[in-house]
Amino acid sequence: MLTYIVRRLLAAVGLLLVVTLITFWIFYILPLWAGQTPQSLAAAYVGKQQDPLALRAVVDRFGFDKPLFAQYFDYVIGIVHGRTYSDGVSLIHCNAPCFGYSFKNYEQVWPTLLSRAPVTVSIALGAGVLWLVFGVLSGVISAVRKGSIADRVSMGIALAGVALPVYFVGPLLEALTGRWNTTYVPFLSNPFQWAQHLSIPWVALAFGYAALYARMTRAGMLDALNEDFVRTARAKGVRERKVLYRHALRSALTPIITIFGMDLGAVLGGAVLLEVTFSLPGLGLLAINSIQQDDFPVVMGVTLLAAFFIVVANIVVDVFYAVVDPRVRLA
Amino acid sequence: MRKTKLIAAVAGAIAVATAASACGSSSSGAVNSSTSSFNAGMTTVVNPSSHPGGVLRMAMASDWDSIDPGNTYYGFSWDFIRLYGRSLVTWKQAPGTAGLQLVPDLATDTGQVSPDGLTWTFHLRDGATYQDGSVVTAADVKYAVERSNWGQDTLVNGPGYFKNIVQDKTNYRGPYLDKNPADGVSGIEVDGTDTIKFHLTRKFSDFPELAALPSTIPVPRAKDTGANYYKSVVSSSQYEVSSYVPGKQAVLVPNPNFKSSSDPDGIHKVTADKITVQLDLNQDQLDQELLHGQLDVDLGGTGVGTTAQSQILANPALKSQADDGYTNALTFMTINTQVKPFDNIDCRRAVEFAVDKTTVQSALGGSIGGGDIASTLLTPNMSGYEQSNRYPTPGNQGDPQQAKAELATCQKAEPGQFTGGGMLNVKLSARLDRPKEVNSAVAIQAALALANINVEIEKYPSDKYFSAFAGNDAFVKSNKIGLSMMKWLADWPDVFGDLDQVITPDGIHPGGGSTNLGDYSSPKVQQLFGQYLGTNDAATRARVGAQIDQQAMDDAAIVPLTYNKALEYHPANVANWYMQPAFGMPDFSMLGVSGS
Amino acid sequence: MSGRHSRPNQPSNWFQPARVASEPEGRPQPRGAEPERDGPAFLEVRDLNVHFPTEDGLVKAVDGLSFTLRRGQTLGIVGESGSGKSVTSLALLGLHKRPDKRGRGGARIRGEIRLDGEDLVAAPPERLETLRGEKLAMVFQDPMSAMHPYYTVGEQIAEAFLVHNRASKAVARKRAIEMLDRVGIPQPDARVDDFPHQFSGGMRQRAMIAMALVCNPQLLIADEPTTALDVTVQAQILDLMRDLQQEFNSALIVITHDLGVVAELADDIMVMYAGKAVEYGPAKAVFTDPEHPYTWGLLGSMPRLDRAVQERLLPIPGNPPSLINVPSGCAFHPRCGYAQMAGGHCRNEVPQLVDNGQGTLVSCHLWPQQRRGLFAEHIAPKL
Repeated sequence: MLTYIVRRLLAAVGLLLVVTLITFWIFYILPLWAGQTPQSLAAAYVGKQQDPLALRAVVDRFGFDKPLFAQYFDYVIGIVHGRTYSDGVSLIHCNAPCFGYSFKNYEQVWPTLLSRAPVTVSIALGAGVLWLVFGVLSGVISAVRKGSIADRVSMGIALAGVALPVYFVGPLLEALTGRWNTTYVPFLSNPFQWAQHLSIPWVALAFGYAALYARMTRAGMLDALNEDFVRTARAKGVRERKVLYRHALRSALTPIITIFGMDLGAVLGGAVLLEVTFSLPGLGLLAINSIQQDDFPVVMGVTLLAAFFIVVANIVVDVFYAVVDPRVRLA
Repeated sequence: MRKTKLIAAVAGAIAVATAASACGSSSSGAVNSSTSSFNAGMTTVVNPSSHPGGVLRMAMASDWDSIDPGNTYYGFSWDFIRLYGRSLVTWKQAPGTAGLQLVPDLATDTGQVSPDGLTWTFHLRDGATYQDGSVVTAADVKYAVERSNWGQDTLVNGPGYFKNIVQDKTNYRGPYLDKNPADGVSGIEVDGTDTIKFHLTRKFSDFPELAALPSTIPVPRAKDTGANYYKSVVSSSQYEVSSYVPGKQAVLVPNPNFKSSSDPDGIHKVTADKITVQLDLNQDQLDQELLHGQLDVDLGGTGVGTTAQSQILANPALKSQADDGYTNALTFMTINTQVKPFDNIDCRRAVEFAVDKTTVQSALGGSIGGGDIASTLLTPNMSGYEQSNRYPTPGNQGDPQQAKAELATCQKAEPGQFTGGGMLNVKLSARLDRPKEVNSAVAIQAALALANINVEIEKYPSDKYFSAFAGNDAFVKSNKIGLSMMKWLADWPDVFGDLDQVITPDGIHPGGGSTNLGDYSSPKVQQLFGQYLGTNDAATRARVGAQIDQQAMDDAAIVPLTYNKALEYHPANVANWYMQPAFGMPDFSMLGVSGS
Repeated sequence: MSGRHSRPNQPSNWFQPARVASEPEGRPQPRGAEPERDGPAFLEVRDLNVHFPTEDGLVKAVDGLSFTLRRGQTLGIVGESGSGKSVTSLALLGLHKRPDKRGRGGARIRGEIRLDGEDLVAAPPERLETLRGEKLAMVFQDPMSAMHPYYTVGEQIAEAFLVHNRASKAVARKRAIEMLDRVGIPQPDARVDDFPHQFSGGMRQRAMIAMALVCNPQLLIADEPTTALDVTVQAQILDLMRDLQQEFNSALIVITHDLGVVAELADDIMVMYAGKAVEYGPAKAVFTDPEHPYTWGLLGSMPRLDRAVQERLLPIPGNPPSLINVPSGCAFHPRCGYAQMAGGHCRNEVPQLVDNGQGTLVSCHLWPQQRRGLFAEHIAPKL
């Protein structure tokens, strides 16, 4: 198991390197191929009067005129070893993991990411709990009472939930609740307000996922209830309720938890639509704003962090799977 | 153009998507004790109050380029910055034409010019201090101008007007490349602690307007950390920046060391215990919070979004709290004088006559929130504005017959540029993420088609529009972009502050980033600008300003489309609200909250 | 079944109970050469019907089935898939889904199932839950899918015990180890913590049996208990079941499509076709003097060791009938090679299950003499 995890982590590092290469290529190299020059790239960062000094400085800072592989090499070295930047006045040593330096805000990217992460983590965890609990609960009820009014109603809502995007559900909820205050409050400063303010975004994000999970759980439960081992449990005289949760749900839940891990990993990388809809200053909003401002180092940082979350979620899910399902052997 | 908000485009797209769901009943927006009425803020200060206290809650859909006074080029920023920085002079805190006057702020007057017009002298107020209590000196103002104009290797955003006109015999490289404190710009002379003189290379009668730029807000050299200075801006005004987290929030609190004795005209009066600015909100959400009293001020200065606009206009109670004023921005189309066949003035005149400005106006959002139909380059708020129309057409709907006649003349001179059937094929560039701009391009396309001009619309992303596409000379010429959609916000409301970067070589940057998209330059215009800057007589300046405008129109380099307007909303509890005409937006420097 | 030769002490004509008695191992003979229908019946099934309403029509999976079983006795129910054997066993355990409030879905069960005098058809679900596992238990085919993959073998056996006994987990675990030991799992105290996938096929089936027997049920139903196993293991499992049955003196129903399985085990044999019994009598009689053409078919399609390799099996022609549109008259007549000998009766009249005078009930329109003659002349020589 341990060797397995170590090997997966090593593979993850390789994967993340590939991700850096691709993002780097998209942001720094593709524009050059498309006919831009280092100067025209720099022009977007300079005030409208296009001072030549300013242009030169931007080119130097980003290294736009360095050989491409050298730019990429510097970037990777920064991550593993740290690197030094000049902001024109002083040298800034950016410790590993150095995800670059934003010349937009003159901040290192890594602390910026760390400052935004709590918002996204709060969103992801709260919404994740909501959608898992409500999705699975209504899925189980639907499966057990297949064809009943409860089943039809909850599956109808689920269909709507899958179909409606968060930027529709979000404003709808806001309108229904009468201008709910959704300003982010850090958990540590006031846990009650933290939950109160985030509750509407949580519901908005969880709605679509819960719908999906309800449908998956229902299908999984219906499959599980037809399994031979469920019949065996009944033949042993196990009470129906216990048959449902100890035998059927246990096996129906395993794939759900797997998908949950992956979804959570993706949301942790930034719930972009939700954060934009509710103006929550998390990683997703950071990414959007950084794209708008051509703040490439931050965009790359968010991309890498998102990739990291997804890769880690993958590993966690695989390990979890091995723990839950004794038939799975990690090697 | 002070950069307008890039994010607004994305937020706007989302706002459109959510409009259907978000627009429920707005009757809950409590408006009871208001004495305001629609457009009251255009002529009066609404809800005047000196009652101190409360928290003024601001927000905007974007963020600063920088809060460093030497590194910012956004309109709202220049307006707001007066809360934590005092420039030598500033715009008068008054609505209407009075607001176009300059008044002294950190200086004792708006500047004394020498008889030869080449030296401007300012004296600093007694008792002006920083937030740490230390005294503001003339050397600090000199340093501020040097760092912002000569230090653009580090402070890349701000304007560089001083560098263009102030003498500099030593070829100073700025404080960041030349770290010797003894070095500096030779043309800026400090006399004692409170006198500063600027020696210019040429007459420049707009110098008081330059002195109103944030570049003259003093910065103590010892406290300057270059690009990082925004993290610890030293306030010289009534508030200080207590925290600023990019993309999240800024908080301002009163500066305890501010001495009102240094502000005898009462420009800087603390009216709120605290000012908070939430950043990067979704415009639609921001508008709703504003309408429901959860926010006090939209700091963006570009008005409410379309959803809120329709809510406000439909509800008289809300409408009475709104103002629809000129933003000092002009939406126009440039005709590139270097791209054939538009090097021929008759072809340009054909375009001027062919455009139907009424359809463009509708495409831009109509009169309210969009703008009024334009026929000049200067907008109605500006000194030098004179109503005229060089290319009148019936009902502003375009005159295809006249256009065809002009085109026929052009065709005789440039037959090779036309198709066999006498059609002219041209390309029109627009910013793809600005739907209103694209729609107005489509309207122009339809109008020009009636005059035998076949327009192909080329759409480019707005963030690269100037650096790589419409403002990139090589790109424009190789792709034969004859026409370009453009919107321009004046740096200050006169002919130089508005048009220098648009119709003179100052706005042409061969490597990309040009703002003079038509590559237009005219010796006549240059000569008139010299005349304009050479006289300090207000009447002459106004007359010459109008002449410059009309000369550029005679040369048919630009098709003015609309004088832009924005619908600004203010909740009833906001005090001292009015529209400052020089900024073309609310005056953010004296707002407060009342009746908490 | 070709692997049967791996068991050297197997009699050549091994399916015949009479010959089993002569085995050198000296196994006890199956008791009751004749079905004792008038003794005190432990299980009494009367006119059992299990019908499934579907969108295509009513599926008559079991249609008018009656049989009895005493303690210590073994009944073999034999038939092709779809003949109603498994449906019958699930009905005995009350494991069919009941129709909803509006009478849709599920199974409609009519008739009587009397276990020790108690009617299970009329009993409430809670009562059946109590009885299941304790008084009557079931061993399913394919123990790989019939055991929960996420729980250890021990946990699953212990669960069956804990459902019906107030005991600590430690006691239940001890009981599970005992049971594993009893069914012949080596090192039971170690293997108790294994998961099903860590067991071999035969061990899993033993574990299933352990699970079924953990509460000493008085009726054990084994549905295809050896189908998924290879031949050597089959024999071991069958031995085990017989031993356990004697030890616990329980009634045993073995359900199979393979007559060979019940040959050694059953006292009585009931051959089912299309939801009905077609031949029901003492095992010996059914094997030696089968009277129903379908039984002949089953016997003929049974692989045999003493048959020359090149001889081909004799499959029953045709396919099992649809249970929605059961053929008119005798359900077997479209596949029966002798149907024309009874004139139009086979197509038009449903044959009754009648005593052939020697204790076996047969449902066939042919005269008993005709049947015996046909068997002696045409069938027996080929077997």
